[in-house]
Amino acid sequence: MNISDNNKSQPVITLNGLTKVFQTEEIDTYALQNIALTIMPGEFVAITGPSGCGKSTLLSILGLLDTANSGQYTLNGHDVSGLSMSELAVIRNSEIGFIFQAFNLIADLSIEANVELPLTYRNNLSKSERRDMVRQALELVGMSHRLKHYPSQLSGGQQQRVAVARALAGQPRILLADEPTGNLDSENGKVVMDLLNKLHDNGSTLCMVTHDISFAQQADRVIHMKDGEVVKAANLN
Amino acid sequence: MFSDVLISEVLQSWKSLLKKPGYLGLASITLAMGVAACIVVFTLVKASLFAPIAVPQIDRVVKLGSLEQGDYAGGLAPIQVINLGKLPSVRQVGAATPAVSSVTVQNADRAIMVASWHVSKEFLDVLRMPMQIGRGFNENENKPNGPQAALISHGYWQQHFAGNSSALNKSLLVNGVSIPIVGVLPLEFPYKNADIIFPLTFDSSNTSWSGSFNVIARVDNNVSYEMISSALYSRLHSLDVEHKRESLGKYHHYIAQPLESVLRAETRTSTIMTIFAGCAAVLLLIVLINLSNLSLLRIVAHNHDSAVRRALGAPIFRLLLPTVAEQFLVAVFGCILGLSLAWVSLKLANNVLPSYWFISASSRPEISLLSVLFAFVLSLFVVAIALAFGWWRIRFTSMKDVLVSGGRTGNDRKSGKLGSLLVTIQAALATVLLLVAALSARTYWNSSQVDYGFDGEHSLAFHIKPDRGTYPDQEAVMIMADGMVTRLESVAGVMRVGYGTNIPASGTDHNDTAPFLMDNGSVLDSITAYLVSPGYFESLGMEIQQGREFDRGHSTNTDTIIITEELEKHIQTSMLGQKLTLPYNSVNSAWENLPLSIRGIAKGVRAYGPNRQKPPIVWIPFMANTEKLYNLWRDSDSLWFIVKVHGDPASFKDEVLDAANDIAPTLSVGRLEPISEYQALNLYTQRLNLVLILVFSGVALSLSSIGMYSVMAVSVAGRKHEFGVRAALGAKPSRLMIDVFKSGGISLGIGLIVGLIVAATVSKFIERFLYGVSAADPYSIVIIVAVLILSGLIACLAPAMRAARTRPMQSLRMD
Ligand SMILES: Nc1ncnc2c1ncn2[C@@H]1O[C@H](COP(=O)(O)OP(=O)(O)OP(=O)(O)O)[C@@H](O)[C@H]1O
Ligand SMILES: [Mg+2]
Repeated sequence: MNISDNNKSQPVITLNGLTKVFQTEEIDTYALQNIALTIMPGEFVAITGPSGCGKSTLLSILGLLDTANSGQYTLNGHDVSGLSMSELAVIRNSEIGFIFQAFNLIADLSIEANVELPLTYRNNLSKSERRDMVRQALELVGMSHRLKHYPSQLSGGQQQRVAVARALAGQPRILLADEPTGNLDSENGKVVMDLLNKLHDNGSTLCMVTHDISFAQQADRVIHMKDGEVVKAANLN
Repeated sequence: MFSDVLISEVLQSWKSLLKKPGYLGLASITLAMGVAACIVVFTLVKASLFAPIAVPQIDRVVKLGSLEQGDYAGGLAPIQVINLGKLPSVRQVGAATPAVSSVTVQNADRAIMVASWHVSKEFLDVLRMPMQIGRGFNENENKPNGPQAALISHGYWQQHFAGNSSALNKSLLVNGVSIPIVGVLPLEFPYKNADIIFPLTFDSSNTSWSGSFNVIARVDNNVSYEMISSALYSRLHSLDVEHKRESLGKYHHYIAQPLESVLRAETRTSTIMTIFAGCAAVLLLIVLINLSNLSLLRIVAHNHDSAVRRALGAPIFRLLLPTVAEQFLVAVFGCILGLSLAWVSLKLANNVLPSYWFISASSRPEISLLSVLFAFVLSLFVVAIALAFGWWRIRFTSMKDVLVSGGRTGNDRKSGKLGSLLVTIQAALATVLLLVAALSARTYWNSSQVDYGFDGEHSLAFHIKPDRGTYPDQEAVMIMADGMVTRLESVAGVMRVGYGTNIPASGTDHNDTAPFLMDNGSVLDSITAYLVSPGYFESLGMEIQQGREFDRGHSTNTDTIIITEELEKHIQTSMLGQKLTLPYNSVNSAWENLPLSIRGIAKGVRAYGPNRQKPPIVWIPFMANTEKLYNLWRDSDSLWFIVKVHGDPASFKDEVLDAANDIAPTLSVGRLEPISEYQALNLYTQRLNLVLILVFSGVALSLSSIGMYSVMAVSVAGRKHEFGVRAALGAKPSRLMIDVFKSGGISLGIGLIVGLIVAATVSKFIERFLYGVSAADPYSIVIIVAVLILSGLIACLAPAMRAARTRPMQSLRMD
């Protein structure tokens, strides 16, 4: 399976009629309803909307952390709905970098080991190659001086920069960020935002959920969601 | 290049496991306890119930005897043995005396008392077991008045001859007679009670109906036990008819019982192996549940970590690798610890457990390859269960939910419920074991409080075995014994001395029974009878309820007897002044007709132990005309002396020994102990069982407490955020503690109720081991409820205190 044919004219992500229902004991929650969306290579898309409208749900389906109930999701021209757990894992590892509001670093591992972690899941990298990629990623986010530290020894902003480094270390084609600045003050938020912009300028496809209008305005395109539906898509550039 | 990643991941997981060793400790100790308990019980059960018996082709060996109550083969009288002749399909028949008896063996420095046994040459031939060294008896030794010969047991050989083959050139000085040792029995010899074996010789003119011999036979390959039984019956029945041996209107029946079932019967009935096996099974279940519980909790704790790895695209085997590595370490530690624990316990068991638990001296319990294998399998279970839970997690938790919240949602409800369920099951199982333990403890307590009907606190006892060389007849024995009484009573502090052919609580289940004929012509079968001296009752502190004890000086005692109230109850008429005739001539031609008038009725005594019925007993005084009676018994019985003293009986040991050596210098003194020690020995098996059951239930209780503790600890850790919120909203620390206790209490309470219901249904099986307490004993139930609640409180205490100490800021801050 070669999912990474890099055809500039072909969309990276195509969603068609995507629907996600959460079934709980009492009620069914329609978190996503009939979503259609296309994201082109190198595009920077921001997703906004009121709380509970389904942004995180959408992003986790894009990131293959969750699956939709119905509808079609085509990634790099391939339908992902029929893929097995391990096939999905391989794509997550090589194609997607995910950045969370809650950082999600592993407390037991050093900064270096955290960033290295996705690389260790690939079979074709030598130790020295991995080390170089980790260094590069940490240098890019300005954290290469804290290699041996542990997450709990870093500030929130620093942790999020490490999380960004982890997301980009494997040079994925798509970066997904769910309120990456949500837990940070404006200063640190800006640092992380600048980082993401830099990555976008280097050609990464970026899809980011944010509540911050000023950050959303830096995107190529803003998608507004409400009650699980895309209500407005605005092209900014 | 790829493997270095794996290695470092494994090392990483070990590092973090060792950094907080609590889990490793709990899990490996739990595993070790399971491994050890199961191996120990399995090994003991195997050694005591299933050890092979080293008799070649044992299925072709049978015991021939009269059919006794309980469907087993009893003994045969000499006349019957002689008349067996050639039974069809029976190749060879051998006989032995029914029980061991003590002999005095003079060693270089001192005389010792040794258990001896008489078996015929053919008896050994039937067994077909090669001697360790030397030979069995030969034809000449097997003849009446043939040359003397002795075989010694493997144990005796090791102890007194250091296992040296030069023992064959030596002789034993037995009761003053020198007897050459001709062979050493093999270690696997299944009759373990005797240390010296003499030839049993049968005079073909011996037509006695008295005595009951242990007769075994080797039979043809293709013949069934039923065929042998019917051949035996037709032969012996015609003998009975010929001699008019109708007893109470009935003739005896005779059977051939497979030797294997005879030999196994003792270990099977005298141990409570089934209960132990049950306890071990319950314990194993608790261990498995506890291990599942611990690994479930571990996996829940790794929830966030695992979700992050999955999001980063870890393949499944890489997700499971840290868990497997961790559990592998637990397995290795637990396995090693468990095997060592089992090894130590079995060493201990070897020293503590009585020999009747085991088929032969060679079947002593040792760790086998199979046990080691079992330990491996159980350890693998630890890895397997963790894998299963890990897999379950991966399949059924939403990465998205965990990651979006940053792992702060606390414990998920599904594993929380599973955890509580496991705690409940453990509590139920522990309840069952605790109830068994409580009932055993009550049984032991009741047994130790039993009124024996005699006073064990103020007397000591010993026995000697007067040999026929020095003391040829009853008169010689009585002169010596009366001399002993006079000598002992001259010791300051000694109040009264008596002697007899046995004492209650001596632990010898002897065959001193006789039939008696009542005035009205009816027969009393198999009444226990002792020959006793004046002073016997007084020195034992036994109460004569009606009539009088025997007088000092023998003359006025002639032709009178004392009986127990049990005999009177048995007959249901007032007996004082009536006559019994001994013996009942048509049954036993060797005995004389002795009409004996009942001069006293004594309070019943528990002669056979605290939990056994008080037997009907007849006490006959040593008199000139009881010579034949005494001769019947003197080979199998010792002469027992009871010394009643003022003060602590144990402090009289030296003076009593001096006196005994003065009066009977050639005889060795056996078991010189306060009578309370004899009584304590009667409780030995019960105490042992109690200790073992207490160990089991103690382990079960601590394991289920560990289980409860770990569930509570992990749940509190997982709810840290929640507790922080509650504290921030103004919950007092005590309120947070109560919260923890409440959630623990619910699991425990349900477990307790379920456990009691289960215990009520299984208690049927343990009822026969209970004494003076019913299986639904309310005291026991109250106690175990209290113990379980207490252990639950202790298990919840640390987690509850941790919850109470939650500071709102600390846990709400995003770190
Ligand atoms: N595991 C779940 N079970 C049930 N309902 C869920 C689950 N996860 C999300 N939902 C529901 O789906 C809807 C969308 O949730 P989602 O987390 O995507 O919102 P969001 O747009 O990210 O909101 P916010 O901006 O507050 O993060 C909400 O109504 C939420 O209650
Ligand atoms: Mg969200």
